[in-house]
Amino acid sequence: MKVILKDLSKHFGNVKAVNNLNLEINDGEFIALLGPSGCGKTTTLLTVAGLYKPTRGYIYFNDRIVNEVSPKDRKIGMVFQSYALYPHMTVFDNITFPLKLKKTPREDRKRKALDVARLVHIEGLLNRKPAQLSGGQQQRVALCRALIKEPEILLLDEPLSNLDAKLRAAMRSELKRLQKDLSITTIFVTHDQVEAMTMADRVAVMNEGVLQQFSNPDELYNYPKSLFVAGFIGSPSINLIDVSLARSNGKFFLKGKGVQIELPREISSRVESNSLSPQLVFGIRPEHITVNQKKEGIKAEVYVVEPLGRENLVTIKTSDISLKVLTSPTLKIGPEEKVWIDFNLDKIMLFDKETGRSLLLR
Amino acid sequence: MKKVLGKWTIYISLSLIAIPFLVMYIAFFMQAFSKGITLGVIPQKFGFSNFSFLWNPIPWGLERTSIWGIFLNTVLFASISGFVVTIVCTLAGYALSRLEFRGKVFFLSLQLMLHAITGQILLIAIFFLLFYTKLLYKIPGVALARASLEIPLGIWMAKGFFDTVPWDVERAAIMDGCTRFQVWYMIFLPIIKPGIGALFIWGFLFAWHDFIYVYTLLSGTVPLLSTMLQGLLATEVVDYGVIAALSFFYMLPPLILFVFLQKVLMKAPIMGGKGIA
Repeated sequence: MKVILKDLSKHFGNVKAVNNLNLEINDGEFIALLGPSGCGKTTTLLTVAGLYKPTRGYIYFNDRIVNEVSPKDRKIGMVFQSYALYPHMTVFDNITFPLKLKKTPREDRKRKALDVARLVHIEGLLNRKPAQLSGGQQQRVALCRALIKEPEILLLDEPLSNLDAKLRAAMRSELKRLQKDLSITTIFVTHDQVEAMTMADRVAVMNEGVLQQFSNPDELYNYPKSLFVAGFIGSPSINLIDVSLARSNGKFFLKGKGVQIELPREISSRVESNSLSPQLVFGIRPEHITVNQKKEGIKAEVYVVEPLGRENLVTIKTSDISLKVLTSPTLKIGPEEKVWIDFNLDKIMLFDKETGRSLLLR
Repeated sequence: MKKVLGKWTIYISLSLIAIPFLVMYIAFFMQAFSKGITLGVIPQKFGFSNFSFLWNPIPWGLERTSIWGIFLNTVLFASISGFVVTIVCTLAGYALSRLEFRGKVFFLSLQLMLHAITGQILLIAIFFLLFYTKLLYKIPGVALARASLEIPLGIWMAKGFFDTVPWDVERAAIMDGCTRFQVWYMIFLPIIKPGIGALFIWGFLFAWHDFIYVYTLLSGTVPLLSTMLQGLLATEVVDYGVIAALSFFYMLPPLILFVFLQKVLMKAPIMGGKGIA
């Protein structure tokens, strides 16, 4: 089922939890709503579910406006952050509760319960009570309860956030695989960018009720449309430096505290046509800075080295700016050592300081 | 050393405070289970002769009444009160916990104010109310009036129980296709079962040991255990042994109720998530 949110707004009194959201989700697509807490992602989900009524705007399922359709008639399966299992029922009764309300015969319920239980490997737990299950098992039960309705849309509200790190990673791939196998249109709410990036086909980044960017993980990481997205996506996070644009002898320079970078011609022409003020923010991801001891580039000093195993995260200081750099562990450097850094100019990002908009995208 | 001394002073002072109560209870049991008593507490001969009212009718003026009819009246009276409190409070508690409507805060504070008013000052008004609705001197009518006194605080209790159920559980139930009433009936009531038990006991107990309402609105026509005890005291020859035995009989049902329900009552409502259960 295709889901379209058109000019969707949800206000609570004066608080605009969701503001003018436009989103088009294709049939069978797995999308993530990503953002810091309080950004309106869960509100969006509950509005799609029908538990909240939109203040303004429309929700379409395929071509049909569903604003007035009750939650149970929307063919939606939902998994809540706290799982929200019914504690007084056994796992079997929990899973088959939606069918029971529809007065499905007991034999059918049994068969369907076993089918979905097998999907997530909990067929042995059907007679237990939720309190006797681990967090991971409870989560699977909640997933079963959502899937047994044979939903056309699956809504997941931070379903992995209550699991421990190892289980979370395992469930991540399992959930992704399950979604692809069943090809149910899925909306996944999370504040964890790793979850969003690894699982979703496309990610919608939200902040303060406003959609920032809706694109695939690769684009989100390499071509963020705004300063917020650039800063929010990526771990370790991007280096952002306040600079001003200067021009001399037909060449463009970025001037910051103690750094001066000459811009390649094609970038500078785009910046010139896009920028409104000379105050810019220069962004570069830690893996796009190279460190050398051959005195090439900008002189700097190592502040601290954090080994991450596969690579080292090095904090480098040059004049008043500190930069995070990812280096190979074979590069042996220690604190207070003098090094030289070089920026990979193909990978730099430039944003307007005031509007936060990217200047390099058309 | 000093610590031990401090501990002992606490024990001794607490024991001293407890002595009057202990003496009263001991005297009470002695009187109930002995044939005669000297000096208030020393029994002369143990026996169950005071409990003869259990198998023989009690002389009551010129009539003789069986204790079991009175006992059943009392059970009926207290149970109706308990049921009314439970039903009204679980419905009101859900609405106050989950729905938004105008005047909700005012309604809640009104309940607290109502609870602060003692039941006795309503007695005359209730008398007339029951008189005109033809419910006076009838167990259901008086039980209804008695229940209404416990409803204000009961509503607060019930609201508290409903508040402990996470919103997500309710949302999940609605997504699964429940109507609002089904949510209340199929999800909430089973989850807050211990709370419902507490509410019932609350309504039952206050009606069970009520005297003033029973005495004013029922007495004469329909005796209950409390008014019967008072009747025994009001005779010319007071048999304290029988009164003690009857009192013992009077306090047994609530005691038994507690013993059986304490497990349920102590168990806090269970939540639907990890770690809370």
